[in-house]
Amino acid sequence: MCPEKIDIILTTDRTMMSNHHGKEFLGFMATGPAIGMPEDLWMWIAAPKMKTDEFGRPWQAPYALRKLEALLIDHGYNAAVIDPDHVDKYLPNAKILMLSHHDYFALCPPSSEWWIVTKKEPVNAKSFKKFMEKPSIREAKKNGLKIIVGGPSAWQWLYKIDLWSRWMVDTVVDGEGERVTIDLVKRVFNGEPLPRYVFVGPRDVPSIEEIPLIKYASINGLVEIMRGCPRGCKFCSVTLRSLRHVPLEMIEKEIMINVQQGVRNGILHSEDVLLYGARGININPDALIKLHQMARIHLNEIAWSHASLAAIKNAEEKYKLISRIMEIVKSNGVQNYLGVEVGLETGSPRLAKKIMPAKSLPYPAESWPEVVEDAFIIMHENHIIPAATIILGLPEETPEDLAQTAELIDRLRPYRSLIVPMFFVPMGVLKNKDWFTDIKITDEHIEVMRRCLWHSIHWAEDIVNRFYLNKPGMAPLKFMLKTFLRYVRWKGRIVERKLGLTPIQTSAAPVVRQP
Amino acid sequence: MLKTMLGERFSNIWYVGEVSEEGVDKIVQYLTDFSSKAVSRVRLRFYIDKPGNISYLDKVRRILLHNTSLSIVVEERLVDELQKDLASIEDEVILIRDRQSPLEIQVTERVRVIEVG
Repeated sequence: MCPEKIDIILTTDRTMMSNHHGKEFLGFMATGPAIGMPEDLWMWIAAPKMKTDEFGRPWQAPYALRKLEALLIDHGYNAAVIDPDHVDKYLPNAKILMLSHHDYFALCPPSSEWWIVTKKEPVNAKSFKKFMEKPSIREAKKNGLKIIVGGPSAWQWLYKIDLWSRWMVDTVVDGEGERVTIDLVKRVFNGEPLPRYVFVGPRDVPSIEEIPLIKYASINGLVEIMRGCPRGCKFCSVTLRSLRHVPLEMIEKEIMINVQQGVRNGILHSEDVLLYGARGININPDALIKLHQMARIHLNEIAWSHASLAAIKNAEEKYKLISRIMEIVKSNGVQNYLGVEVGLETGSPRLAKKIMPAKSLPYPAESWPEVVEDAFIIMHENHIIPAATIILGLPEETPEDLAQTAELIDRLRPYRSLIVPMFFVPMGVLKNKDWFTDIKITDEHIEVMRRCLWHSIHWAEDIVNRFYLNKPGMAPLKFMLKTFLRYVRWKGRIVERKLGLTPIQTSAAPVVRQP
Repeated sequence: MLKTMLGERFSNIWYVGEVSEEGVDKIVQYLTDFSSKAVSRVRLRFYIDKPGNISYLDKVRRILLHNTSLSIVVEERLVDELQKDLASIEDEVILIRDRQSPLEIQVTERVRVIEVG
């Protein structure tokens, strides 16, 4: 039962409040502008509306909002996640509007790449602005509504002080919110002033016991299995937080909540799934086998959010663990692949050593390209489909580094995967309104980017046909995506001709592994 | 039982007057000093002349983006409330004051005034 009045509304814009047709990877389209089709159609593919109940509560909602909702309910507050199309009716009587987002203003990769390349504002930022411009929010502010925003992109508000002021946002919370949210809510209920900004430092992150279990379904069944990461890469903030492993029984309870509410697929979320239960970077095979056996019992399809390439190689070479896990994954006779995001970042051992010295562990940073290639072979052979990211434009980057990255992408051609380039955007640049025109793209960047493009188009067609959208109900979506891929292929050739570039010839042959 | 963050003990830096680069450098200096003394939480309070004027954040941005080790709470108070707040402080406060600010500040042993500008 949902009361007519909700004191604390938790919500976000449509690009976040969507299950992307049950295909998490399609959500990445919400980080780009509409390309080759009307924006409404792009939004339908990337972020269709979420099914709601009669009160406007979404069937599935972002995991972070579900965690806060659970925390508030556990502390006796009248709080609920509400779909963005249904908030208007609750705003007049609400005390607090809480928002979360992965990328409020499209300043994070991959939104920033889309913006740099197309010079068009991505739909996620447009959709969020449209939400914040709702007259109902402005009206509710006049009546004392407090707006508290958070999430992984909270830092972006520091570059949008004009909008912070225009939309009368009261507080921005950057960091894990469990220990500060109740404080803030109490202040609102007591009529006390709110702080303007809160950064939650490493000493104030919650312990596992303080993290509540979600009460309602998360988007595509995402459940957290760990927080933090031990690898210490220089470009990543997650690594600053302490490493915590969620006990198996807590993970199972959350999976069960999703399943009971009709979400029968699940994403195991961690910065490096293969480090679940590990000590440092020493893999714990038992913990991983138990995790996947448990997930297999409850879920139709299992996905990983992220895994490190070094852990994939290490897990297989030391324990044959990737093969064993994939046997478990495929054992229900329904699932024939597993999707994951991996950080390739660079093909240069020099750069790898400089920016991510621990990412290759237990292998030396000098052997990073071999670690990448070996991990890609292992994934290909085991039907794990990675979406790999590459970082371009790092301050220490040289043309030689980029040549090595291009060469590595050529060597990865035989392995089923998507490779996505991402630009490192220096924070200082973001102060400029037209920041995306200030990023210098060199000829070497273009070489890497077009290799990523052709690699990804080649494999995307195979993935869409054979793995990703192979169920009859997905036919319209499959048609749209294949049309989009044809458009990108056509457009890519035109752009290459315009730039005077000859098509890339890759002679890389599949590697035959020695038994 | 959930520990709450805002109820913990914070070190205090207050700022009165126009926020300048020099003033921000002073804040950075104190934050570095706090970090070296294993302080983990800092409250930055800005005394402003108009409610809702958050333009100071433009200058303070670099502090907040570079910090990774401390919990930081940024809050605002109207400048009219400064004297009252000074009279009721319990912990030591570092008060950074723009020299151009016409405010008279009553110095007590708990307030360390640093002038900038």
